Amino acid sequence: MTAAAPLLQVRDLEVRFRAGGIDLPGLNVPGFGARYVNAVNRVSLSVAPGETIGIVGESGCGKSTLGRAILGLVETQGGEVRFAGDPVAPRDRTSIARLRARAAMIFQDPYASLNPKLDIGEAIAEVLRVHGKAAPDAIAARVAELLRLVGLSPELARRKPHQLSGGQCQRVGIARALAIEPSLIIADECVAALDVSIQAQILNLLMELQRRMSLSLVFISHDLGVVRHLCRRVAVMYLGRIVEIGLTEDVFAAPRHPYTRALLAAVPDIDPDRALAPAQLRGEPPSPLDLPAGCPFHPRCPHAQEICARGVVPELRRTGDIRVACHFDLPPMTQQGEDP
Amino acid sequence: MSLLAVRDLAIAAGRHLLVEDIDLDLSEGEVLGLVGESGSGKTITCRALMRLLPEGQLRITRGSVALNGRDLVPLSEAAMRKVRGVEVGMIFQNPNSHLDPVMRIGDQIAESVRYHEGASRADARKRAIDLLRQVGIPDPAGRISAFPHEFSGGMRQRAMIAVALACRPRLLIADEPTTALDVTVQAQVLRLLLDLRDRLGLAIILVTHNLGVVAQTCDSLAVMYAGRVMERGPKRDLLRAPAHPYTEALLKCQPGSAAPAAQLPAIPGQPPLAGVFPEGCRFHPRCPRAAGICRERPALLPAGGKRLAACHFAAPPRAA
Amino acid sequence: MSAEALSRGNWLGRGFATLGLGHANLNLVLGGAIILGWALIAVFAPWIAPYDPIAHNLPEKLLGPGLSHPLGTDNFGRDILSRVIYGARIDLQMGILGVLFPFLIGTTLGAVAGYAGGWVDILLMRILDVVLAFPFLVLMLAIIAILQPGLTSFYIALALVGWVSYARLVRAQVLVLKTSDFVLAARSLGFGRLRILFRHILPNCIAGSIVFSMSDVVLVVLAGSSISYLGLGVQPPTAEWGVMIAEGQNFITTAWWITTFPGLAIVLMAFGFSLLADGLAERFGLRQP
Repeated sequence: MTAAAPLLQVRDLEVRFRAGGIDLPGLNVPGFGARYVNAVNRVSLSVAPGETIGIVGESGCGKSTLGRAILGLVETQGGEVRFAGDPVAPRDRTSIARLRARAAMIFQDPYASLNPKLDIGEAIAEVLRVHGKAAPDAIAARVAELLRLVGLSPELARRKPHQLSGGQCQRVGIARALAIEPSLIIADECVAALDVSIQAQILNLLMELQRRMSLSLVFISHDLGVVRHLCRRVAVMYLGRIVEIGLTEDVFAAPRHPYTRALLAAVPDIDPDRALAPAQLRGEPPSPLDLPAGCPFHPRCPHAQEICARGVVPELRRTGDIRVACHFDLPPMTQQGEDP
Repeated sequence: MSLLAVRDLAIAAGRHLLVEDIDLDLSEGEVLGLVGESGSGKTITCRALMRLLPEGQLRITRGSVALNGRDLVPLSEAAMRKVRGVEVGMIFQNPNSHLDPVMRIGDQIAESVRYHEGASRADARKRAIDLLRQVGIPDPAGRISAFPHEFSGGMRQRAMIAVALACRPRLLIADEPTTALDVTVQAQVLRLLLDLRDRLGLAIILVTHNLGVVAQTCDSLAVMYAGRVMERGPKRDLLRAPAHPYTEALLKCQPGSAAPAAQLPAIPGQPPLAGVFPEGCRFHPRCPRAAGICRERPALLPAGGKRLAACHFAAPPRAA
Repeated sequence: MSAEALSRGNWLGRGFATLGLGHANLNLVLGGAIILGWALIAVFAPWIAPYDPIAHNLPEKLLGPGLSHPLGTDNFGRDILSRVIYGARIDLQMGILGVLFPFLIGTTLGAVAGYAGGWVDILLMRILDVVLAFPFLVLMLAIIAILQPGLTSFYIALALVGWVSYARLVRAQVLVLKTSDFVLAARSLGFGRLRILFRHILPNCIAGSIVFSMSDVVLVVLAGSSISYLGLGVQPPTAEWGVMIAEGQNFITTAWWITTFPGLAIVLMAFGFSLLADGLAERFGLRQP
């Protein structure tokens, strides 16, 4: 772990959503009580100033919810978020406001995350006004500066989102996030909707901005290639839990958790001489409404033993430089996943 | 003779040509990857092969689509109905919007068998069970009476493949079939497509923007940009030693191909909007090698080996 | 946009720019022309009306349409044309004010209910159910009867009854937009709730209400006329189209022009607002042309 005091500390964070049923205290009739999805289940992680951490996992693993919970955008049911040492209390508006004045988010859908009625200059200007980041007569100049910073012509300020391309809109989203002069950016699948050539532009921009402004970046993505390129550390999530976390190079070189291994093996490589890997995992993630007992991964795990199906959920434990939530120390991988 | 031969295909919306000069060849058991960014015309090309362009908006203005030697372009709508589903099947990115939500999976498969082959109810049901088994759905006899919403995402994609294969077409057009799927499920579906190819001798056109998927599944490749084929040929040649600067740039800007945390060699600028393409080579405004000659349109010409490239600088190819 | 306008956040101006006639839109142009025509008639009534609309002139009573009185006279000898012209003042005002108050109240309450959720939403929606449980006109009549007949009471009653449609319309839209990405983005940027609601959500869901309000004007004018006809709205001898029809009903067989022309006026104004509603719907992209 890094020596510097962490900028962001998340401890045992829990997010539950109600999925139908009636929410009455004491009501315990089967089929009537509220049913909950444990979207984020006792997740802990910390981010040092200037550090990039990737959160990877498949859809429904809770990675986006985790990002939103950090910014207080969804209600949390347990655990704690500390930003720059200060606790962020979900019910305390001032602590949330303090957090959002220094932490910003970039979203997946570049069009949908901009107000269609506002032109993009106004979308950025509004942030400056609300946070008092520029004097009223300096706002237009600052908007132009931010647009140039993300590689857009200031002349685009009068355009509406629908008059821009996806890549341009995503740049606007980044400019708007930078307008608050954040020390932390949470990027939620921010290149998933973009074409490869545009994706590379946005990744370059993020890396460059991060270096210049020593931003901390929480990069949420399902794309392991992108995370590997961008992030110093990586956390792998499965069904609401972190199953493996460590330095990106360690995790990618020698993944310990069977899920991480399967995930890495399943990524199609652009090497034409490597044949399509035999599918390592059968089936699909179970419904988060109906989690299996024991290790949530055991029904799909090729190494599952009796202990995995019994009641104990494996906790994250340190093996080598990686922390992994598995009962076993699996032998190093034999055929694939090894980096040539 | 190749199974499918597309020659000089052009598609227009009003007076704007969206796609032109499309030449493709596909033989039995071959998987052709059609690669391109959004707006490159790969999806409307596939629709055109099935003659499924939205009526009144897009039309084929030129060229031929020969399936088993018969040109589909001049065929009547009635004759096309005997081609769709029977000779060519099609699957899509989003099974949710392409499976009928209120019809049982088995009925959706059987419908096409009964319609095209006049099969009896019992025979069609037998075929449906068989197809579900072939696409790897466990307990097929039990699952034919399930509705699409009772299936998971990967299972729905498998069911859609079963529907497309109901009348045993020789060619399957798969339009971004794994884009909406998680990577572990994507691996399963790609594996299934290759198995079907091996077992049934199916030819597949796989439309995708993911070069990794292409590298692992396709035999040959066609790279599209701004409505034209930039380069096509055997997969290994294109990925190992691309002849066209666009293919090369596309490969280089993949995050996996650069050192971690290094700046990616991104392609500058934006792809042009459909229908308002630059003069000459359509890639020249973003091309690092662009020169004066690029204002003239390059033809798709042999560029070493079995590959064709539409670039003035493409031939002769550099060594791998 | 100038730097000044940019920093002021000139979104109202942009709103009107959206209303502007970018493309020719026949419904919008025709409807607008009709309503503008009525507005001009209302404003310049004293100059264009040939006679005093109220003064009795018994020697000329019950004259049919002719040269001196183009639309004829009523049983007190008042010129129908002049009364229709003056009536435009009252009826246009009724249409506009009678929609404005419900629009403002309903939009605000609906937006707050949808965005706040919880008990605020439950409370407002139950009140709405109660209002909806009574037939519109019956409730209006009851309220006016309690207050005392007159135009002011009419507006108060309309505000109390008419807001429900707007509240429901806006609430449904707010519920959808509340979970949209750009609202989430606005929250993530630390914007306050009022700013998000009134600046980001409302401008994106107001179009439907504006279109509805245009067709609502038609209903309000008709309701106002009905209530005046029943003697609870505008009081005689004021020239109002509903009142005129009420007064003329005894002569319907002998002097058809007393009721017919104010009736046509109502129809023409309603037609104008209907066209305007269709045009705006097209304009806002709520409906395909």
